[in-house]
Amino acid sequence: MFAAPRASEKDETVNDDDLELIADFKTESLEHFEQVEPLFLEIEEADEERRNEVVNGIFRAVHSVKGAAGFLGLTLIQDLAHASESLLMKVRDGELEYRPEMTDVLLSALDKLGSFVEALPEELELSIEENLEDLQRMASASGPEAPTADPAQETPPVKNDDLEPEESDTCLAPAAEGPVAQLLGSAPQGALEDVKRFGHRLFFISFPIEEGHDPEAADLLRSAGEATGKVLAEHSDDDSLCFLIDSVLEARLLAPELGVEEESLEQLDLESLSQEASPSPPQEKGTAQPDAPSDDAKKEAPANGKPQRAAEATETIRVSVRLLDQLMDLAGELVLARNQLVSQLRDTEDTNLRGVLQNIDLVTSELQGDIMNTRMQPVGSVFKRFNRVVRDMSRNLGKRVELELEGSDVDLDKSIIEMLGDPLTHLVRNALDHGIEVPADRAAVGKSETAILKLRAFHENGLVNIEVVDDGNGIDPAKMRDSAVAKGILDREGADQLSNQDAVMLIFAAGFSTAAKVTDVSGRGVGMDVVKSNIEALGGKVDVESEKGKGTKIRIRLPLTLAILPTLIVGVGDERFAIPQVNLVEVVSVHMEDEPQRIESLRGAVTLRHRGGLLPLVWLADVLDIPGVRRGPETEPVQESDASDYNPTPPVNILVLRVDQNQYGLVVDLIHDTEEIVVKPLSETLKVCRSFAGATIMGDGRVAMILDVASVAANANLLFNELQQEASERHSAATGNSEMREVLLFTSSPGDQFAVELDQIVRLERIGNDQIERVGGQEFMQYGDGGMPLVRLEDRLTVGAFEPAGENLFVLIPRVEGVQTGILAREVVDTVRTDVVLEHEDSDGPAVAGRAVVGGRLTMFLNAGPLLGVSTEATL
Amino acid sequence: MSLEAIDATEFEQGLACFRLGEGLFAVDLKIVAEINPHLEITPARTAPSYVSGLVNLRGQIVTVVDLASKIGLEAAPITTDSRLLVLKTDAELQRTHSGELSTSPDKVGLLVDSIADVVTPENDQLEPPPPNLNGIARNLLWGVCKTKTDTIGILDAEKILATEETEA
Repeated sequence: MFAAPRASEKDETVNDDDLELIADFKTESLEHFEQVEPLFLEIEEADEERRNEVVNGIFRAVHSVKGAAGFLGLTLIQDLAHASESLLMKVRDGELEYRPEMTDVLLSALDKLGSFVEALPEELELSIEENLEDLQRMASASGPEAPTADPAQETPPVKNDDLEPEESDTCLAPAAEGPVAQLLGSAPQGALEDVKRFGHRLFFISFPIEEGHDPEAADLLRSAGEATGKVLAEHSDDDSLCFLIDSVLEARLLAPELGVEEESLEQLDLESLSQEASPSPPQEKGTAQPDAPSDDAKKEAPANGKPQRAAEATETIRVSVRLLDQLMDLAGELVLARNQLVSQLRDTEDTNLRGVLQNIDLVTSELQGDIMNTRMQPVGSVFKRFNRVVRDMSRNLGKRVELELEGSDVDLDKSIIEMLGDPLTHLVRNALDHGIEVPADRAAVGKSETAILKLRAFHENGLVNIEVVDDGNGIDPAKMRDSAVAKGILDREGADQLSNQDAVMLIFAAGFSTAAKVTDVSGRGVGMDVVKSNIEALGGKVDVESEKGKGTKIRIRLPLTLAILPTLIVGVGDERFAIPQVNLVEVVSVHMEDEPQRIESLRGAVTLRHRGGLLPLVWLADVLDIPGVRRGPETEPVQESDASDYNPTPPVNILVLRVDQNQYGLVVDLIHDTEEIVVKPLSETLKVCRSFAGATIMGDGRVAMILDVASVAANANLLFNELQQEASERHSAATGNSEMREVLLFTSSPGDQFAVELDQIVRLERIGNDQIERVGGQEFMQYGDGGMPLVRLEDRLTVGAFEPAGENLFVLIPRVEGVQTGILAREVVDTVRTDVVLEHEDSDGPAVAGRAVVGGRLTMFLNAGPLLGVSTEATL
Repeated sequence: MSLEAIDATEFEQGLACFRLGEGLFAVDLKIVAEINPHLEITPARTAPSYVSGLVNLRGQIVTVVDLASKIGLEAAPITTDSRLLVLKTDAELQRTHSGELSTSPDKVGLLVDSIADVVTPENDQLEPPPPNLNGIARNLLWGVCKTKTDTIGILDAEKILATEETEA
């Protein structure tokens, strides 16, 4: 076991200050771990020089964690970090060759550290013995030199009281001149620069060795030194023992930690040191230093001069998102003030003033842009964690997988990034576990043994797309159907009716797992439906494309909300609108004098001859009902012969917009400029405005609406089927409160119209009036092998009495667990897809989902379950 | 929410009074974040008629509710006296009043014709809405406050801002 000399003294009651310190420690440490993990994965491939850098980086992170943990009395963390650090130090100092097994041991130690830290302020009681043993084994699995291992590890714990290092005046500066220089020379490479860079303090301590002096005292001091900082070098000769200690503590705090008097610590001046230390050549090092790897240090020396450190250290500070939001708002204000200033002084003759103004103008814009960017993070920050996931999992599963990351620099709002981690992890795990085959199987079908898993991010259609693509086995639609039937998700008939694409989509159904065996990583049958709901919670969509034997592509589309969006700003009247660039194909300006035939009206439908086709034209002013501006033609039918008479005042600005496969032209008054905007979601009250995807604040501080081009087309009654579907789907994705349903409309009495979701209906039977039989008070019909009870709606709800329209009537058989009952219907009107918002009144009870107007008639939407559930209770 | 449950201490910070057409109305001052004269309203076309549009309040987008048309009065044109009563959001109220008060999850501003005094009512000044109140949706009123010269209708912001699904 390791010496943990400070533990006993740290058992004080935790007060608020400590809690705060622990919270700081937690965030800092987690950040360290996050930085370190990718480094590990680099180690294995890195050349020697890079490896040294990497090991150094890991070492520094672990060391900081250790130091702070020691200070906070978190002994388990401290011990584990210490052991990891010792191993790393040996690698760094060249005492040990780096071996791949070390990665596993270190990673697992790091994971454990991670779980300790995560749990803070709770102190976990996990066993670290195993990790310690592994680490120690690695550390002592002797490299060629296998010098005396870190004394702290070998020395049995000693009680603190044993340590009473004698003070002596000999440690005062003048006398110490020689040893100081010597120690500085033997300090590990870069350590001194680190001390300076991190603002640490450097102490020199020396005390005489007296006869009969307990050698353990030196070890104890050494480990105490390690707990509060870092022993950079030590030196002993016949009559004294000196240490060089790097610590964040001040002398008056460090001294009691080390168990020595404050006066015996000499703080060295870093400024003068750096000059002194650098010229002192490594050769000057003493020979009697157990920890000083003189040869290796020389080898490292050339690497040290390089500016690697500066490049490595990403200089960041933590800032609360609220502060960033405030900054962003303030920058907006500044822009506003700037604009006022510019317009006030526009005509000034003073050239000096003009110069200043221009400067302010520029700086303000840049400031705003930069502040906006602070909230954005590259999606790579999520992607990079998969290096580890893929490495670990493929190793466990005995598969060979190469991870390719693409579009890591696509920026997404921080909050979306944070929410993306879990669903992506699910997808990657699924791909590794179920999608990708073992090397032998891959070779057998002629694929390369190493599978490729790709994570891609890109912008398209105003959405951020993220794809998880594997070249594995793909999804077999036939298997999906079988599985769905076996699990009771679908009946055979329903399954067979599914298209291959729909069958593949079944992976998102709840409780679905096709893997032959359940593994510990995935295949628990949750997963994919969770992914779907997570993404949908973000307002996104998930799609899957798969070809059997070729691979699977899962695409997540996230809404533009929160993301920065490149747009074109257009004007109608005094109002401005932002149109997402991704929807914009081109801008066409038509001068009617020059090309009188290009815009034509055919029965009120205006089209543009464009690239050999006819493009339907929509006037934005019409769609949005903006008063007092130039509009499109009257919608009354125009005489066909007069078609070419229609002649809007030139020029006509037409934006050619794309919505999926379709295009249309949107006519606006003015085309301003392109602008990158931050999308702000609309308030609840405005979600009913379908034409808008959101709002944004323009450079001059005014609000502009962002157009949802699909919805604009739908509102203009452009009859692309797909267009409308897309629009309503996108709308419901945006609002989340109205859903698309496919319903069967029917009547019972001549007056009332009802709707039941098609999903809820198993069968629709058309029977003659005379096929209804009465037994007691109950009506039945022959169905299957027996009789099926029938229900009249007026028995369950306060509605008009059922009345057949003629000889025949319909019976709706809903899908309700454990109940087979038919509902009598007078007429089946239609099946429609609708996303109307249902209004529910409490008096309706559970059997009524709500009311809405469908096809011009007030329609009552029924819930088959409660409707018939009530009826069975009554009849039983 | 019934009047019996309310005593004047409910409005200890006062009532923010304002004019709408001929009438004097008020909301609880506690829910008012600020009163703003900047009214560069961007219209939200196709929105419900009581939504005047959107304004930028230091980088935040505020939905402007035309209070007059929302409570069934005639909407007046915007003048130099017009003010925007920006309300605290639910989240902001949660912080200060731990959820006892509620307005709307979104940042909403009430457009009023002009702003009047802050009145701190005594118990005996508060009354339920008079039964013959016409033109104003009675359920949006919390009650009235009588002063020497005026009768002030106290509006229930939460009810006013409850989204109306019928607009869909």
